[in-house]
Amino acid sequence: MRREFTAISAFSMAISFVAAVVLCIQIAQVKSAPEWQISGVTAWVVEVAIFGTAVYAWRQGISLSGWILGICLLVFVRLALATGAALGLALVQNLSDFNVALDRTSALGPRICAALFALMVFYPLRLLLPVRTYSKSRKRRFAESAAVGTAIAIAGEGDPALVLGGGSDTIPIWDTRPKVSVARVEDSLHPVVELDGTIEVPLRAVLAQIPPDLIGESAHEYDESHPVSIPLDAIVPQLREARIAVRLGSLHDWLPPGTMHAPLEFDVEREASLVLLPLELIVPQLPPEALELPPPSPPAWAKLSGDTEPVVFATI
Amino acid sequence: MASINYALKEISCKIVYYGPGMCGKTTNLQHIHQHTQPDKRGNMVSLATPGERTLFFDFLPLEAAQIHGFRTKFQLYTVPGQVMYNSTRKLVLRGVDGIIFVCDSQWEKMRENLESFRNLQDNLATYGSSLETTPYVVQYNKRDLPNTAPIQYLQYVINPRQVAALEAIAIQGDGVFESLSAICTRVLGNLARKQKAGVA
Repeated sequence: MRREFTAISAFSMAISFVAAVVLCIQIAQVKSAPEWQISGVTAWVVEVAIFGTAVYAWRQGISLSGWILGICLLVFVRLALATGAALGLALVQNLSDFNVALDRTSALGPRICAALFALMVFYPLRLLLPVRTYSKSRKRRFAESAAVGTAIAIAGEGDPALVLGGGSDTIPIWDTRPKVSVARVEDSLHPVVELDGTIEVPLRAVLAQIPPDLIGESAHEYDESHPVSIPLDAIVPQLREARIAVRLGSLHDWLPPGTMHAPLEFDVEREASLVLLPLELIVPQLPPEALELPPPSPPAWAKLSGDTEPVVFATI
Repeated sequence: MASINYALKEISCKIVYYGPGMCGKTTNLQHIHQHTQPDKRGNMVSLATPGERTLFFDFLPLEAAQIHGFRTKFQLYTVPGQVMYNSTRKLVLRGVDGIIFVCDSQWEKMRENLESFRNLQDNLATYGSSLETTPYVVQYNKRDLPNTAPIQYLQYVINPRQVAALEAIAIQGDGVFESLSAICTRVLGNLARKQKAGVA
């Protein structure tokens, strides 16, 4: 788990650095250490490869510039360690030529030690390396997010035309799969209100909803604003449905005589077909109690505690 | 699903704008995108038809001010409102943390609002979720139009639970950030409540 860079991190870096210098000096002083031959260029290539792998593995989502910076930092630490060790060795052994000390600390043994300790010293610094720029990391999150990464894949399976272009995820009209049915809390929240009386809707608005072949000859004899009384008990139970639908047969009884032909008695289907009445003319006339709701009983998530801070966005 | 990274002190949540077609979901997102400081938001991704109808979804990543030392990031999505794109709506709802249900306040859209709200409940149910457990707020949009239903009736039809409801004119920006702040506050409150209860 990544942690913040703290004073303890800096202290551990300093301790590691000192320990590495001392250890390198000790190793460089061991005369019996095997002097394996390895060219300086090869050694540096190997070290940089190890450093690059370490930086990439330690800092997830690192940007290219951050990765290069990390390698440079590691090389710098590694060089600082080697220089410190060479200086220490020159002091300990009273070497007048610093290059001799540097050669001895550049042998394979001190070199491996310096590289390993450079990694230890650098480890807390990895937190300071920049990660990928926002747009790139956002794209990654976008691709990983619940609704996109797998969503696109699944959408592609279910609706290939939608993803490939030109299609839709329309449910075919012949698709008779049962729809999901949910026991909705809303259905139980509307109180049962029984109201007597009627409201009045202009004749014009009602006739506009009737099939033209059912409009009677007497319709033009009435003023367009002639009121049609609609019983409240036919309206109130439907308010929660966001529409007021009445049967043609019922409507015939409420309209002035001669304004509408009675649907033929044997045409049961048509008699029962529904006519939508204009909500905007009905709702404003309703008594207030028709739209009363019981006292709110909010879900648990809706109860905000006193110390809840509102979320604020930086707007321009 | 919301994620909390204690190491980075970062919270990430998913908010979905839901509602019938042409109710103003994308307009909400566009306003947020245009009026948020560029360093606090990402690019808005929108897949729309030539007629400016959302074909798949819109997406906008957004960062809010720090809360209790945590960076709070929100991923805002809209669903395609057209009835036929239901499988897309279901997919976008997956892992949702909070919902802004956008209503078109016009009389002639009342039924579409209700059908969309019921569709939301059905789609949540497919994930074993419901509005009892998922925070949501209701936004009554297009309040500037002349043929709007009164709030009392909108509340009666869409919001009998009487959760937070806000009036908006998304095209002018009125109520847009208020709605977003309202849902984000509730999402974080719900997250804190779950943390206390040891649910999350």
